[in-house]
Amino acid sequence: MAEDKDKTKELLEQLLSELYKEQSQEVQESGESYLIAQDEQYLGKITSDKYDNQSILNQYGPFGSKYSTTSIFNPYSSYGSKYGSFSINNPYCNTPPKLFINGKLIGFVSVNKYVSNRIPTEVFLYAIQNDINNLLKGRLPKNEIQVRQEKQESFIIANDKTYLGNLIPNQFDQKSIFNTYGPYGSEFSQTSIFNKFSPYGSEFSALSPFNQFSQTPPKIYLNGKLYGHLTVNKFVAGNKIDPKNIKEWAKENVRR
Amino acid sequence: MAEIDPILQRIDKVLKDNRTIEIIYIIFTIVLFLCGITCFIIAITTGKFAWSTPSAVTTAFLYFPMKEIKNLRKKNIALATAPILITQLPKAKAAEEIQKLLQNLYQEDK
Repeated sequence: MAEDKDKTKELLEQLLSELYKEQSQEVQESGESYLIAQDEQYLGKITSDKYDNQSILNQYGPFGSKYSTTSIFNPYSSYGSKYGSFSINNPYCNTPPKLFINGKLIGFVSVNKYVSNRIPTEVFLYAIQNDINNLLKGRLPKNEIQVRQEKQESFIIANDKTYLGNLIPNQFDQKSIFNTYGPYGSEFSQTSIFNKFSPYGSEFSALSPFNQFSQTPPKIYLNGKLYGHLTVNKFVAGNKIDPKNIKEWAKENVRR
Repeated sequence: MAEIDPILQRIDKVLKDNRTIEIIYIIFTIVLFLCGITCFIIAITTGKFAWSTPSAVTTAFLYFPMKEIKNLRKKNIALATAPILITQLPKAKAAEEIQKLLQNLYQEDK
């Protein structure tokens, strides 16, 4: 929390969390479409009615509030944090929540790309916030790139479709490649182009922007549109950005 | 919530802590004010108006403790409101109102 010593905030958050916990315990699985964690904790109804207390979209309900311990939107809960055992946002979680639509298991919502039958978190969140009617019919946006394009994000994506971070020139943005402590900017992360030993940062990997001979370097999307490639290879066709100059380029071109 | 007494005890404890912080800020404010006034009196009595500069500076510094005292009072009002919301409203509505209270108090994104 931002203000660790603020006891007023701490107490109000605790009270709120207790209220939400009680509400979530009283809830019976209702409706045919819902999200449920693998510890059997119900995580909310998938419904277009934002005012339904059980809705995952009700920001004042036990499953949609960022203060509730049973909400995927609480960045400190087991179901929404980066480290939660049952979280949609934990890249190492093997037990992510299950999504049921009309009583049928559609998939597992997770950022962990090794989970089978996975629905990427980004795709799921986009679907519930922007396209819930199609989701209720069992139709999800095709892939993560499409969703990020729809949201007009600026990002890089590897040739094997792995997301390699956004291009927002803010060193505190968790998903930015310029955050040296984040999963996409740290020199120790496997999904960072700045890790010399990762498949996306090594001089010898075909997927890396630092390989002088690679014909399959990462692609750059600027405000939702394909811009070109991120590479040191001068012979790749189309627009090219040298990874050494990416920060300056992002500062000039990327909308914050 | 099953019991209101433990909640009231927790709230009272935080209110007490807030009161201690408030007293510290009040003392700080008084000290600053007295420094300012002293410098101002020296300036008047000695006729050396350079002495009025520190008083202007200390007066400007009063802004910070005053702001903190105002914030603390706002927090205390929120704390005092919480048990009423919990006891008088249905759980869902109480949670909604407390969340709104928190967001307003800390100007967080909704």
